Amino acid sequence: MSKEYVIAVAGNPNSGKTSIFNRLTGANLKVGNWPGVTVEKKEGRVVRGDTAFTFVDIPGTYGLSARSVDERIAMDFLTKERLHAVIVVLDSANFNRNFYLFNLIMEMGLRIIPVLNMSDMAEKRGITLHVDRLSAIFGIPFVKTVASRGKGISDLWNVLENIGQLGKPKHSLLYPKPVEAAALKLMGRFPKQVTSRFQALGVLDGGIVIPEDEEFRRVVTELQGEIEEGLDGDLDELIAEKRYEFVYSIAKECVERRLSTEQKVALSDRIDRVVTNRYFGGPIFLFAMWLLFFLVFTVGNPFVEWINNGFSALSSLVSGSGIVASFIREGLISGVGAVLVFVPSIFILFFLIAIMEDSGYLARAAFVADRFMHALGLHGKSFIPMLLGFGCNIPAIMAVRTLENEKDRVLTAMAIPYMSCSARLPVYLLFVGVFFTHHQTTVVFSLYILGIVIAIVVARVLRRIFFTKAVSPLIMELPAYHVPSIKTATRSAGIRTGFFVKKAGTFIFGAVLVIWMLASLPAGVGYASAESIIGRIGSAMAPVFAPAGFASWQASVALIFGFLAKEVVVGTLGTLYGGQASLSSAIGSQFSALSAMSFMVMTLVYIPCVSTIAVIRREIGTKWAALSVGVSVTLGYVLAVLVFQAGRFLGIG
Amino acid sequence: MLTHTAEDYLERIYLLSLRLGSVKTSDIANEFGIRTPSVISALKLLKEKGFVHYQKYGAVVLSEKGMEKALDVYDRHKTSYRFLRFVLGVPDSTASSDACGMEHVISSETVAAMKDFFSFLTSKKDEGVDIQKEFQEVRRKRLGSGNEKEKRGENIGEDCPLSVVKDRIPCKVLKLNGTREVKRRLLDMGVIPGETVEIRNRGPMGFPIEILIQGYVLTLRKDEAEFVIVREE
Repeated sequence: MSKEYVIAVAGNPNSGKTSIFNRLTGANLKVGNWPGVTVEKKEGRVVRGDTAFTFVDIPGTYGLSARSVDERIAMDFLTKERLHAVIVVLDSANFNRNFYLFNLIMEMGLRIIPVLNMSDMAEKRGITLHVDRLSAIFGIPFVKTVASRGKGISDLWNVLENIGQLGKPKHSLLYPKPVEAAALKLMGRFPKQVTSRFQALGVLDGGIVIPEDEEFRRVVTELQGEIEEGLDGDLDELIAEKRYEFVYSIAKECVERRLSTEQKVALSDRIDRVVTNRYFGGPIFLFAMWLLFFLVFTVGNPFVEWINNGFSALSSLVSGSGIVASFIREGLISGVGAVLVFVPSIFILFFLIAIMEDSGYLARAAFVADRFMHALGLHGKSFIPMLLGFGCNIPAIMAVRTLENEKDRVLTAMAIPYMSCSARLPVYLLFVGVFFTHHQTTVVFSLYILGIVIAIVVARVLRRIFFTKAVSPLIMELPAYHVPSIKTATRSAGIRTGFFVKKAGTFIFGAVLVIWMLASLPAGVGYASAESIIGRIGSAMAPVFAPAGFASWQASVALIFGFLAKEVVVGTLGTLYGGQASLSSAIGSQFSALSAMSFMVMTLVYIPCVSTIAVIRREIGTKWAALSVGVSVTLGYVLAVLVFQAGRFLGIG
Repeated sequence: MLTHTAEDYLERIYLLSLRLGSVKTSDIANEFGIRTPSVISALKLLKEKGFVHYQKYGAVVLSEKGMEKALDVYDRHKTSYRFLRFVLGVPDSTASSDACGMEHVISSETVAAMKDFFSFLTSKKDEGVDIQKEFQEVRRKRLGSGNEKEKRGENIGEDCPLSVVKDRIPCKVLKLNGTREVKRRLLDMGVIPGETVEIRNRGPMGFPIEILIQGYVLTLRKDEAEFVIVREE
């Protein structure tokens, strides 16, 4: 390749940045995380002629300061990486706020390819952008696009292919003299800490966190004081005002409005008078959530069953009772099956989330749910993942990536495992069927409530310990409604499902193999029998569970198998107690109503399954996954013991 | 010792020179709402004391000594005003007129202490403790029913946080408070002094609110709306 270009794609959230990125990269895509954080990083390499372009999608932001994770990533990438240019995607219908970001990136002294996206929407709203004037003012070509329909992308490629001739923007904002002077002074005195005018301004207006250096801090405070002497407000306000003034001056020259802004938001406003209405907003939200839940789990289930049946059929093809046959059946095939079984619901979920996000409803849902979730110490957007937890914890935890704030992502992901997923229901049903025939609903319902209470308590306690200062603000744009793109949604769902299979899949597969080994070794023992390693572990563990009322080795082994998936607990108990048919009577004699209750509490609370751990590890890191395992096992055990002992004390069972 | 009016003159000339570049006697007369001849006689006195350079029909320029004095008075005014307005939460008009009186009598020692208190507040805010806000809340509660005006949202012409404004009433943003993180975010999203905002809609329990700014819609929780000081238009 004769030439290699690295190009960042930046822009406000909801500016159509992702569509532009998708149009440019097509299928050449690499998805990962930004180093050290769990924010999704997408890059795509495209070869045109003898030139290779690597596009990096940086997080959508409104500003560039070190005060939020997304903005810090964007800023670090833009300042530290060797970029040839930045494509700045601007929502044409929302020129001012979008252009503010353009100006910030321009202040960084980077080469810019500005893209005026959604130009059709702007036209419809009576807004005309004079591209020629903008290009003339800044001396760089502005490109008009409608990324959702692929319009203007060839023009963008034209600019990209001639990137060698692209200059830096000519026109720039000059701040009042004292500000410029202070910026120069800072750069002169601290050439190591402050390497650019942009950084100097950031230090002055508080956008960049000042390093722990007495001298540096003193000088900065002095300079800030000096400038603030001559004005009535704060310096950060002054700088933001000047930036907006600059934007207004450009808008005055280049943006023509035929209708007032009132009419521009009229349609969205009318929809919102119903959708986020004080009285209807809640019910509409609950209906939307019910629909989401229904589609993900009910519509997804037949596919899950096909996959299950397919893998059972595949296993039954492997005959024989030797260790090799067992390895293929219980190890390999069920390992792959354990990963693939989540694919339908994850795909449907992310498809629907993309549709909700694209249409503009996701932000509204967060708006409606926020008061309630905020009272629980979480963010409005945490509602969706928490709710999905009732269906399956895996897609639920994956859905935390729709949260913007890292603290919210962590707390939500740590709380979700206590939401009683559908895999735990078979265990409850087995036990209530035997012991609580007259109070089935009450008992099962109280377990669900217990799960919710634990989730809230865990979230609150973790917030207290790890994120004391963290109240992430709900300063969120409600984008104008528009018709969502099926194509974008499919792509987004495909990317995230692929991410799950590749990143979490290996871990899940490995865990299945480990459990198989424990159950089959030493060679020659019956699968999961008392003589197998797992059986011996179970026997050794059994006394530990005596205070909780279920000290049989079978119960312990069933709980170990429960790591794979909670419904496996039922199947394992069936095998160990001599077949499904006699299971009910065996349980009736092995457990009492009280120990059944404590066993169900244990099942609810301890680690949902290895897949959940794999996903937590992927989404928020190994440290948190380990903590989640530790907390849930301890909590499950303590609560089970508590239930049993309290019951005995009260004379029940 | 200067009389109050002399200090007022110097301060006013300084501010006018910032705004207009060069200051004429008629500008000063306009500012004070008095006639030009009275200004001229006052300027003669100031010139005698060496505070201003002034020729008939020419521009009024502060001497080095006058500039020093003007800066000092203005600093005392500004610090007093900020203390009253943003620490104590006194309404803009009261803070302004009180500051005009205080600037002449307040000692530099007290001014320095006020400044220290500002930086103390800022550092607390960075740690996530908003003493100002806590104090405002306590005070609002104590004023309680006595402050019916605020409750009913009848604050036309008075500064108030956006959180007490009624729906669909256009307001002008005057000032932003709050932690750096929140303030930064608001500024970046176009909530800047001078812009017009309007509450468009409310969440199920009255908060969060949807506001219209710069032609688009933004959501704010109650805490965040309290940081935005506005005046109804």
